[in-house]
Amino acid sequence: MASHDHAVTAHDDHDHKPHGWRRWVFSTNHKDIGTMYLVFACTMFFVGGAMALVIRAELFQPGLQFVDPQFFNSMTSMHALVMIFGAIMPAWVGLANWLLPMQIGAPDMALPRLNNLSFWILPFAFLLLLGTFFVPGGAPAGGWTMYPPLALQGGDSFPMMIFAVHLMGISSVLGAINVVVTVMNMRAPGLNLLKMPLFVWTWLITAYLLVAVMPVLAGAVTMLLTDHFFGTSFFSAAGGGDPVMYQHIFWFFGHPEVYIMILPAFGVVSEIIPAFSRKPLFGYESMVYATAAIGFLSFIVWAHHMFTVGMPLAGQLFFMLATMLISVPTGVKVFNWCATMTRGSLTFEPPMLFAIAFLFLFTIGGFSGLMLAIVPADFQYHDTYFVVAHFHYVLVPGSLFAIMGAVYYWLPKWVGRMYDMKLAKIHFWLSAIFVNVLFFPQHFLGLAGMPRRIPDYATQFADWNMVSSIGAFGFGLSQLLLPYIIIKCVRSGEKATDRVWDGARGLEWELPSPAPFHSWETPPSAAVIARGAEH
Amino acid sequence: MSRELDYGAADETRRRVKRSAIVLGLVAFAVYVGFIVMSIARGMP
Repeated sequence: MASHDHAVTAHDDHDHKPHGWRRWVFSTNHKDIGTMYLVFACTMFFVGGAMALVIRAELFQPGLQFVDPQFFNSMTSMHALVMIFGAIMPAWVGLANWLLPMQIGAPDMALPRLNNLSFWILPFAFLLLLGTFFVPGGAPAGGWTMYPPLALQGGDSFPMMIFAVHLMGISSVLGAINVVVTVMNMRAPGLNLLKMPLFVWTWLITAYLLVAVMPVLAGAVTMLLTDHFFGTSFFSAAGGGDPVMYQHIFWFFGHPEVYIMILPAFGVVSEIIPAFSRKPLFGYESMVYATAAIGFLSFIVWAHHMFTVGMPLAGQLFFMLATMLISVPTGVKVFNWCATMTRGSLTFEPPMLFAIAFLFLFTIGGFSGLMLAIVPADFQYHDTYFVVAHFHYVLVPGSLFAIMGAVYYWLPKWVGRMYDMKLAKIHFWLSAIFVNVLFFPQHFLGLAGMPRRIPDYATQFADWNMVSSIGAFGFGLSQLLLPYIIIKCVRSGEKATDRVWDGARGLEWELPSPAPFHSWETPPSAAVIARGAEH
Repeated sequence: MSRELDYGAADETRRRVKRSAIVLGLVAFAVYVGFIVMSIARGMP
């Protein structure tokens, strides 16, 4: 197929495929840029994972074993920044780059050069961020939330972190603009909005969230910067400012950020479950409206992250009830996925396994979120390991499992080869078991009162910390299987068919495997759209 | 579809792409500046 494509397109400059380093550095091709995003995300996943293992090694037993407390604090702060901005978000942008044009019948993203810029900003941002380990004072240690006045007391790392966050923000906003512009303008004729695959829908809404909230984070950190270097007092009580205002602004970004990381996961699961249930998705339109509702609600719940700073009773009630309201559209989604599987002809290939694990484990994270939404209960749980357990359930077996499910679902389409199914299933089972060994005991630790972000703890917390650390090393080591499976697949996998999975529906499956360098040089016909857009 | 019409459609798409990218960029910039201005206004006596 590749040689055929080359023969057909060699005369056309737009389809000339450059070779060597130029192909990657100057790339304007959505697939190459998507690959670079995914490789970058995978690298950062292992960097952030190594930091997590330092944290769990230190917490294996009470007392200080391996690192000093300052470095431990740097580990917690940097682990979060690297995982959120370096692993999860770039992985979603990579998947969007690979899939969106193929799924909407477009030849590429609408703004290919902007796409290149969005990606290439990222390595420099992370060079800057990781470079903070080597400056006087060490890496940022005041938490990824950068709360003043603590963050303002950072050493030379402070301006580097702020600039790195700015760069990541610019990269995300440019990427998001590209997604919105592509989806709104580049759809194949006849592919109206309610025919789009759920992954496209969830990414469209995610992109709007990104455009709205990344500049808010940029504004907040700019104010931190001017407070530190230019004598302003935005967040300094001594100068008439208010440190709590930072928390409001930060979480106005921070809560939609959670949905930025999880909405595309909903899209992926909504693609995988119907494919392996051999049934159309139950309640397609309600899924779209539920996604939009979650996107909207994400803007009006931010203060549930900061109930303990003190706020009027009306504020507490509003933010508690608004937060609980999110469980309604989320419940719609969970019930729709269950209804899709009901009486389906289910098979359990690796993508489906990850999707089902997502369904169970993300729901656990959702329920602990509901517990945290209750103001009086939150006063008890705030800043304990219960919160750590909650958001890791949402982000690891939630977001990360969906990313891995997506890779296992679309990898054969990308590279034209099948991966080792048995190894992928082993990867799944090891991940699913160890992720629970790692994070479930943290609920118990939190309920027993263990605070987060501490390198040492009372002996009463020793047992579950040991279990959690064993789970962490098991989970971390089993992830080494993922790059091995992918490399093995690319090098020596069996040839994949065009449709790959017999239940797969969508325009991307109408393309040959591996997908050609440019996806749809001529828009798909009405018949192809009708076949691909069956929901 | 004639070749001429094809070019017309491509130009129109290009115009729409440019317009929506600029609008979204301006929205992002306005949100960035807006929060800083709001914070300054809040701190004023």
